[in-house]
Amino acid sequence: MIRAGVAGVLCACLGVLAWRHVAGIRSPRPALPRMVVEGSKPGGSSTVSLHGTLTSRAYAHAEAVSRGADAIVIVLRDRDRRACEDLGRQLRELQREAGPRMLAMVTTDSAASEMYVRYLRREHVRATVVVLSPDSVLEGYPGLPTPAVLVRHGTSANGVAHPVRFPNLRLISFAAELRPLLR
Amino acid sequence: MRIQRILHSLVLGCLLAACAHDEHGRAGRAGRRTLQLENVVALDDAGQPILARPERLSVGRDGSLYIADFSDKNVKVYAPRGRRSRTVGGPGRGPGEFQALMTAQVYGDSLAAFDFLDRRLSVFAPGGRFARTIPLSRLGFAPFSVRVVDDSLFLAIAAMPGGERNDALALVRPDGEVVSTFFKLSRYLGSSPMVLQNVGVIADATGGVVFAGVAGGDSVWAFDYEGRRLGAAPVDPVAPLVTTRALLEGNGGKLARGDGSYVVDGIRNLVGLVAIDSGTVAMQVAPYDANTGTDPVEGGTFIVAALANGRLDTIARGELQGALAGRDRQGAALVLRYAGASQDRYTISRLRIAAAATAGSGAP
Repeated sequence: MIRAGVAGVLCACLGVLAWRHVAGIRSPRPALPRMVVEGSKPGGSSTVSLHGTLTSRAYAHAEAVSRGADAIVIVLRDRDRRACEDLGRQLRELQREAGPRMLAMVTTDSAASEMYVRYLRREHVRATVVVLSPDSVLEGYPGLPTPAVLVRHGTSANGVAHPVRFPNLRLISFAAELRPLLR
Repeated sequence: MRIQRILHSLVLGCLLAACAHDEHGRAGRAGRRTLQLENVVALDDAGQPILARPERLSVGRDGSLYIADFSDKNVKVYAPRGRRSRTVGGPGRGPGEFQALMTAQVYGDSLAAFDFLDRRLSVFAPGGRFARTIPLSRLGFAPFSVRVVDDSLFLAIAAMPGGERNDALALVRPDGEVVSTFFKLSRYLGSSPMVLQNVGVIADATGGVVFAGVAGGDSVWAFDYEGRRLGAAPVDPVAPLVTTRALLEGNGGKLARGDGSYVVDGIRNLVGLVAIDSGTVAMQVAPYDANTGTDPVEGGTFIVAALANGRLDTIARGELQGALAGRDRQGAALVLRYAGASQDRYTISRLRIAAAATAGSGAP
């Protein structure tokens, strides 16, 4: 009787594993970022469109910051702050476009969070800095290109990334590209 | 009786002059006089984007205030009472637009603004319309910044690395003619690319004298317009600066230590220099943040030095909030600072030399 029970449990476990394996193969993977190249426009290039679902941790942070409302999620790696001379201007423009109603959070890893607080204060960007690796913001995007700005609505997030550096000035800004999502 | 009175006056005058000289001399050696800020005006951006990263402040003939904004890549103009009146220029690559706006200053009844990336000195007409560019092609170096000296002269400052090999400063006329070049830094800075990438020349001129220092250096120099050296001194004799070159050489030529920190992090640097008149210079020293850079508006040590008999003596020194940003038309140094903790408004103050501090008063 006991043997039969153990065998049944084993069979059930094997069945679940087999089903998960098959389901994993058959279920669609998250869409990869779409590349949109703007090579013809001076000062603009390599905008990466991003569409995805917030991870549970990113969602929890966004909920805490915006209390259920839409929010701007700015995803930065340390190199973005060092290399992008135009980031401050772009983020201020983005906030003006979004208006005071839409709150912003900056996600970055723990090593850089204090630097970001100082950087954002100096650049007069009002945003809550949360410690969350850029690789853990969107489901299925461990190598999320940055700097990225997402507009989150519930668990979904849409936005763009500017992974190609332009010294001092990027004419096509986050605000210009995300205008339809910010209204 | 009359002659006696004149002699008496002369003796009294000489005594007062001697006392004043002695006071000045002692103050110079010990830096006993301190500095104070006297509020001039509060800025009101009138709902427009506020000043993000101010780089240079100057005052027009009508009292309007012009402030270059490095981050917004424009020049914000305020009426004499502080209300924002207009914005000149903006981000872009076209005429009258900026990619890396290093400075903008009143130039006659116009405005001159320098873009580091385009190496372009643009002139805007009184109404703010772009008028023309001033040629800088005859300079012997790539300029990092350009200061307006007066209506007929500009001071071009060389970019590092590169500028150290020749003279790092040049006085230029509006037609591009180079009047003089001077300030050769190769011996002072050496040739290490790592040193040169982490230093920069800061200079200003007025009334026939050019004052110059190095962010990452420890000294300040004075020259006449022909480039003849008039004097030199440590930037801060009370708490001498440590040079970037010394720090790097002490770390095997490397910027980063073994633990990942930077040798220049937290080191006090020259961050601002304003020529007040032909004999006086105001300087600001602030700790360098290797990760986020220095925000001069957060303040630091302010030092005023005077040129006399081939020497530059510190005549006043104090710890103040705000950024040394320019000078007014009467020759007083102007300081830009936050109006409150929220850092969303600025005030402009005048730098004043206060009376000598008494012993033990705590003034540095």
